[in-house]
Amino acid sequence: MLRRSLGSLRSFSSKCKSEPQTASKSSNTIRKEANLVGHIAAFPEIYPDFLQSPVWNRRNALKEELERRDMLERRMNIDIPEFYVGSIVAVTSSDSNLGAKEHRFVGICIRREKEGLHHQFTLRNTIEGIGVEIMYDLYNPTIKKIETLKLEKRLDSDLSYLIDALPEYSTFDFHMEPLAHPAGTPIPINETKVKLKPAPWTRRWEIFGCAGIEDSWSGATPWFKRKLQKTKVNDYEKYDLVAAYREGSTLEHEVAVQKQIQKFENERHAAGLTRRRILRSAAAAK
Amino acid sequence: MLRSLVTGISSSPAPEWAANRLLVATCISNTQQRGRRRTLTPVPWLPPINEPAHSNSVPLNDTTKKLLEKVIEREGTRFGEELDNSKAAITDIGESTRRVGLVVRKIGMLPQWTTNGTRILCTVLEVVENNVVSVTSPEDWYKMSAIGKRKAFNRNGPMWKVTVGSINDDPTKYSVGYRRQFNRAGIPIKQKLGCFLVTEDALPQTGQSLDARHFVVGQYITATGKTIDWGFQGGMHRWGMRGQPTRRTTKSHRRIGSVGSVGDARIWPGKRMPGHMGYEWVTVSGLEVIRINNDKQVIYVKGSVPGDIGETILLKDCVQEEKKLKKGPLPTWIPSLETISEESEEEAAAEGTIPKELLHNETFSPKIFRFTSPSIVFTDADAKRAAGRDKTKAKIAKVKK
Repeated sequence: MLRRSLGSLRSFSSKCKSEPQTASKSSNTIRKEANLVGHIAAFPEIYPDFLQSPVWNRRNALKEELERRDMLERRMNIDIPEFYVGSIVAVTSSDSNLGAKEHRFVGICIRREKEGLHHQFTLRNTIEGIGVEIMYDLYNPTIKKIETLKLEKRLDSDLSYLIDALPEYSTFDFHMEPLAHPAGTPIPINETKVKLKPAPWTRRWEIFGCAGIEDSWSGATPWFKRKLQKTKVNDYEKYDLVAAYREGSTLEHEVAVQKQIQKFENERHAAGLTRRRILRSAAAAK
Repeated sequence: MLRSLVTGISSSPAPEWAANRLLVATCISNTQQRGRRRTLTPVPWLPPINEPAHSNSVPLNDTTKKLLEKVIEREGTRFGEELDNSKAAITDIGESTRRVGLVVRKIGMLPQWTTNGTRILCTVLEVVENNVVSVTSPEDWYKMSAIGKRKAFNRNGPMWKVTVGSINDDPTKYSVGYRRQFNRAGIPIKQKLGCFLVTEDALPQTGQSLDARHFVVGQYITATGKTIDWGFQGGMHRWGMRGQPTRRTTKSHRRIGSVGSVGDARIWPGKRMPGHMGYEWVTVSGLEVIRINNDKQVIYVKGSVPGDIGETILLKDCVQEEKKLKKGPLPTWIPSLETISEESEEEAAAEGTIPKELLHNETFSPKIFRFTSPSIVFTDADAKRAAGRDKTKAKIAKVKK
């Protein structure tokens, strides 16, 4: 109480009305701190679940801290490997109604979305000629094991268009041997360009400008081609710096989270509970 | 500002805030119609809460500043005075007993999982510095206010009005009238206030601090708050109307359509139309408390609660017949009650190997999955049983042994 009232008095004594504790640090100090912590450059890609919500109203320091504690606790019990959109991933989850009590699914990761405990990823594969997509909650405790069979990226950060692509682009062998990624080498980018099935498609891929589609324009129906001029073409979005700031993550946040992860790891290692490391990067490994 | 602060302290027999309010209420209350869905103007008969801005802009010299510091310090001196806690206990709660509630802040929504793997979306509520501001007896309340006339002696018997404040704030922002009620209770100035109806057997003491453990994990609660303010919205969003076809329609895709053409061919009051949506008081009852973080004073409630993130919400015990609280801290939780729940802590310590210092002090509902435990593995016992006999096979009589 006393501290509170004294804190409120600070506004009388100093000329500046803003509170220096809450103000953002200068970019130089953050960069120095990032070097000290050993900041992973690809942090937002490897840990999209540790980013802040793009809806600013939903950002709350306390809630995020509690959420991150839960996430780290879970990561101590299950090994969540590094994987990207475009990697081939196998997930083993327990299911009470199956005879084997567990289910393994292999597929290409086509989407990673949402932040925190809400984080989801979608795997896609073609089974007996039928495209199957399974959405997993990353922190669902029924997931027993996540394996990255092939660590690679594609040209896009969202492969939702595979649903309209020829089935051979999303067919993967369930008995695929995992391919080891040599530590310290950059993540390979698979530059496959996908051929789409004839239109109609689920979405108008010709206007999204996906790099991984081969000639989406000629596949589009004349109706939509004629409509292009009437549609909002979001070409200007890449110049919208404010939108990029609002939706992207800041170095300050990344460094703070990385510190929390490291502190958590060190505590658990010191207590002799586990030797698992949460903070890893295949490209930055030595 | 300064003058008002000093008078607030020195002149104790100043005109009563409550009496003042009654006086003004009798004069003005007829001019404004209250009790509508939402009221966007402050109540005219209550004194202003915030100190007018110009009084803060007066430059202060050093001696004045020091005096002001002293005054503010003295305002909070009674805080932490010993309260008589001999009555507090974890006991059975009677049918007619109504406990106080808490004034909480909604800080977000998180998924949690049950031990059988189902996902539950929870609302996370933070209990910020809750204190009892005042306790008004039903007689006083009846005399004092129009609301008291309606609520002090209701069908559930006489009800005390307990005002709870939350979130400490800078006293210089507020007017004398507003600050006086906190000075009387000897607690710091609060940003948010909420009132609860309480029976005599569950009366807390003035100035008492309230804890998140006032609620028990597994109990059901009622949440009251103002819904999200959507502003002026059309009929499709506000009332869920269907709108009109997308094709072969011009400029009427989202309009409500024909109105008042049946019978008397007029529009009756209450016709659903576009207008202001949200920012109404809404109560949701029967929400289960699933997890409580005692260190951070955070309550996880199953389901959603009215209002946007960051809004203030009133939480109280659910009064639905089957969802009433049977046993809990009465009148409220105090630190000395902690020893009673030691058994469950021992159990928790036995099952997990993680030392206590590394974890928050938390209470979980038994059906909630703890992230410290390993992944869920099912056995044959967990599989869903077939509802009846397998009708594809012939019926065979059981042989008795």
